[in-house]
Amino acid sequence: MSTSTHPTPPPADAPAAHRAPVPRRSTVRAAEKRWGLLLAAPATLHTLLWIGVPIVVAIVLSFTAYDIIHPPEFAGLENYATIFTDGLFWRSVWHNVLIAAIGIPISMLLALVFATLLNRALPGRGVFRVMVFLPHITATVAVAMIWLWIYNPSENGLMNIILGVIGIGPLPFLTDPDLALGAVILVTIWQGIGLKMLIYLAALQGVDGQLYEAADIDGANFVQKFHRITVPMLRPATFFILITSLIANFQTFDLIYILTEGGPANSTSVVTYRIYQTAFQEFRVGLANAQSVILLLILIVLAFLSRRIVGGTDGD
Amino acid sequence: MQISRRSVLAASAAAATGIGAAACGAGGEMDPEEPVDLEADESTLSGAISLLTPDFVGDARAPLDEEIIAPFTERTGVSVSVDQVDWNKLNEKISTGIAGGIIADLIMTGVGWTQPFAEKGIFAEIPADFIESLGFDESVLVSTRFEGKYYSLPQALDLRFLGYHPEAFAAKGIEEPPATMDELAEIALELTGDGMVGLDYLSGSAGSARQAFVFLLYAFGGRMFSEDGMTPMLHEEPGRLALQWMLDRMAEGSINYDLRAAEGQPSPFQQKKAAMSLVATGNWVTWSQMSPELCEDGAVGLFLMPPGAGGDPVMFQGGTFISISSLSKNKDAAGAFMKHMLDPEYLGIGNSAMGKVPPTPDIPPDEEIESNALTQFGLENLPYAGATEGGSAAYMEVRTNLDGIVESCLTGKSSVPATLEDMKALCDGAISRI
Amino acid sequence: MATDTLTPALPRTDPSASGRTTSMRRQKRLGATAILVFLILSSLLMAAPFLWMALSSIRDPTELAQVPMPLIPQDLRLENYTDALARAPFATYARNSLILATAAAVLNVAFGSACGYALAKLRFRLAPAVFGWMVACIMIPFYATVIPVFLMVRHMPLFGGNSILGAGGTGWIDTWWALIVPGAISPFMVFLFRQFYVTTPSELIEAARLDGVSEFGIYARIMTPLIKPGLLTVALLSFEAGWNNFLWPLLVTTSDNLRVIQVGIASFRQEASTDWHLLMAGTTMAAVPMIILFLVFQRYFVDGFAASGIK
Repeated sequence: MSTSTHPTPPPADAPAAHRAPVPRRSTVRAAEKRWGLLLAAPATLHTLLWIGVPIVVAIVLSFTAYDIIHPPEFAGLENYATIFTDGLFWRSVWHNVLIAAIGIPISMLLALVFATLLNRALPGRGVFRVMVFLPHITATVAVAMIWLWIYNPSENGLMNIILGVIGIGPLPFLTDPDLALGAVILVTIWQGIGLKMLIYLAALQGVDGQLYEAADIDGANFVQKFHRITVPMLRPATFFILITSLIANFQTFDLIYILTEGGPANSTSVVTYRIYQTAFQEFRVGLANAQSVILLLILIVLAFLSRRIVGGTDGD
Repeated sequence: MQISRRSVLAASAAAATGIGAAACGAGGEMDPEEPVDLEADESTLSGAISLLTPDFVGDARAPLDEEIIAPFTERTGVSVSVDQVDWNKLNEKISTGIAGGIIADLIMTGVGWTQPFAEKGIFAEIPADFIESLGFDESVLVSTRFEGKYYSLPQALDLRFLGYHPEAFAAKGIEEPPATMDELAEIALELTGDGMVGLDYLSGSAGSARQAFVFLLYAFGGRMFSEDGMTPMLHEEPGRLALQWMLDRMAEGSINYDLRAAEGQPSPFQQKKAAMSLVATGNWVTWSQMSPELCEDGAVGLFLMPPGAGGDPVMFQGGTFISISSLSKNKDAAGAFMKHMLDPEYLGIGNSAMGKVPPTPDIPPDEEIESNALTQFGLENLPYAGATEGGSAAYMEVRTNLDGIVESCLTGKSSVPATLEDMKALCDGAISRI
Repeated sequence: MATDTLTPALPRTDPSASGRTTSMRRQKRLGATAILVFLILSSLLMAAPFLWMALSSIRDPTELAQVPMPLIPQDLRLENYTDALARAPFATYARNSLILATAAAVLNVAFGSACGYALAKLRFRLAPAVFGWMVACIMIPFYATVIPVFLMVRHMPLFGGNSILGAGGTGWIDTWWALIVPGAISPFMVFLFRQFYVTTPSELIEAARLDGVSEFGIYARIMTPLIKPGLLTVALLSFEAGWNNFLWPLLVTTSDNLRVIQVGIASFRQEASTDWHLLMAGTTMAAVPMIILFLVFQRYFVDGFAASGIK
């Protein structure tokens, strides 16, 4: 505002093109390959055993009728056919899509704002950071119980006390099918900011201060620096946050279980809640596994889409 | 690389098959058909048994260990290990346990669970002559039977009826609790106004929308399923009357669905924002902590749900039921411990510690139980505790889905005929899969 | 806590620039104040439910039923805490949760960083497949695989009286193995590590190779120190996940001496009644270790600019 200098854009990417010719290149490459496998092996083998095998079992079971007690019976595509005509399942998918489409952008943006503000030198910075992170630390049972109170319909609920001051309400947040999903989304936004902020904050530590110095010398203002340096440098973190939030969103369970039990009138039912009900309340494990497979497919598609949106996994 | 990737896949497929096989074979080690011998001489018993319970939480745990299990172990030499699981996670615990073939010898579940688990062969049959010797009221045994045989026994009950603030009655000159559903509707309307709702029936402090419907269903003379559990009946005329009754009250304003209080928060009735309310015996604990004035003598009036179509008034029955696992390797010891727990003395100790209602009034005098007005009212009216959930082997599948259907009706998302149709379709679908 | 403060710069006496700098300084100070006000308000909003919980934890339960309920508890009721502690063997539960959380943090930092580094910086043929696999792993809902995982744990050969074929006994059920091993390495953390390593400069690796540093040395001594904030983040998040874990420990244990702190907290929520005041006291207590840990860890998150500003 005070200056009208147009800054030259600071270098957005760390220079990566130059590679010195390496002596004994082939041995180095061989060592790199070997160590790549070696370092990746423990985690890969562990997940192959403890997640991979169960996934294979789950997929196999998705083609059976299995009630936990009797041995699974082959059922072909019956479970999948059941899902395609199960309106409630697709309604639940839709609820997840809504929660994600509204909640994730807002909480990511707020998290980024908090992270950039709390990355700067500020009195009491640690306390601010803790306060923003608190929702993530607190056990979901308690979080849900407190929000139940906040949404309490009478003048005992905080939200209605506040709305009452500005002359609205009282609103029955969790008993009106048209309001309940919105109320749930608000909680997911609030609960999701802390983790995203932490990851952004950690990623900001990796941003080279010299880039900002160079930009300062060029007279760049805060917005320009943010746009030209911070955003590109945070791309890997953004990609990570977007993908994992999407996934986490489709796995929201405990919060819904305590807040609304999917109600009223199934207006807040989500996919994982359906899967849980099908498997552990109705004991139709084969069907529940087919639902999980469908969920997996949906998530894979969404992951590819978000890769498009953010532009690669690595920021380059 | 290609080969190793393929071999990894092959290996995992092999492991998967192995697990599948293990899952199928899990039950094979024991004999589920082996009957329970409740006449076994206690001196011949030995070994250890396990008890899976969602009850006896918190302060009630010590009495279970020290006053119920300890005397049993001392007498018989059988040790009892307790696996305590949250009600909310009981499904997962039982499912994984059954799938893995390592379920506890004694399992405690709720009303409506017995028939599905009996049908699946998880619960062992309990000899009828023993049960008849207990002298329990028929009303508390209804939900323990499947195809005419017994598979569980009531250990602790949670009963529901209606409560009112006597001063609210007095202010309107109402002298007697209502005797019919029409009277109840009239009184509820009369009591509504001045920031007070006549009847808090759906606040959630005493059960879900589904249970609220089931209670009224019985009040209007209906039932959920036919005797054999293979035909749904909840969608018939009494079901329609029950739904319509709630909708009419909501239209008049004497029932307000939106008053549903958050869990852990005081109910509208506790705050005197409701003149009458659905009350569960379990509310006593909350009242004594939060609203002790309600626990004083005569502070709250109680009455049974009046009949809607002639006949007797009704009380809703929930509770914890104890069953013997058919996979148990030590059924005789498990049976002996079940007998022990159902002994009037130990029923008294357990229920007194948990604030629940023993399934029979014939227990040794207990200060805790006698000072609990809700429990006392429940015990006096046990024969009326006929409104129970379930009664079909398909009920586990029906249970939670029914909530959404009833809520759809209550929130105006679905008409009464459509709701009844949905109920029937849900039950028919579930029954067809048995 | 913070390494630097907002103390305004000492007034300088350069007459030529003084007019402009004061106005800039004023603007800057205004901006800083605005940011501070925004942060105070928004962080209070974020923390409000927690603060409410802390308030409720010292509240007499009768106050809840009062109309209107007093917002500030009328008297300090510390019995809620002692009552809550007396309800369950919390010392055992806390110890178990601590062991679980520590194991999760250590294992994830060790193995997750190795895998994340390999995926980000080492070119090997399987790298894209492994990366895709890790992301896919996160997508699997717990409820889809819990039964197979449970069966694997229960049929673990040669443990808990099981034969080599995994039958006959109880396997890992009710043992520390079952609590720690199946979830020891989280694909989420591998993914996170990878994203941290991706931002590190590859030139350092090339240079180190020229200097003859071993591949493991490059990973352990050169690249990993660069992502210290990442290490702390993963450690913190894994610890927290372990600390708040509830369902899995409940399923694979049967005895009280292997149960975790969240089981204790869940016991305040019962079928017919919820002990709101005890639940709040219990949850507040359970959150305290996490808050302390976070406060300690976040000190290492200092502005990259501030840290390197002197160079």
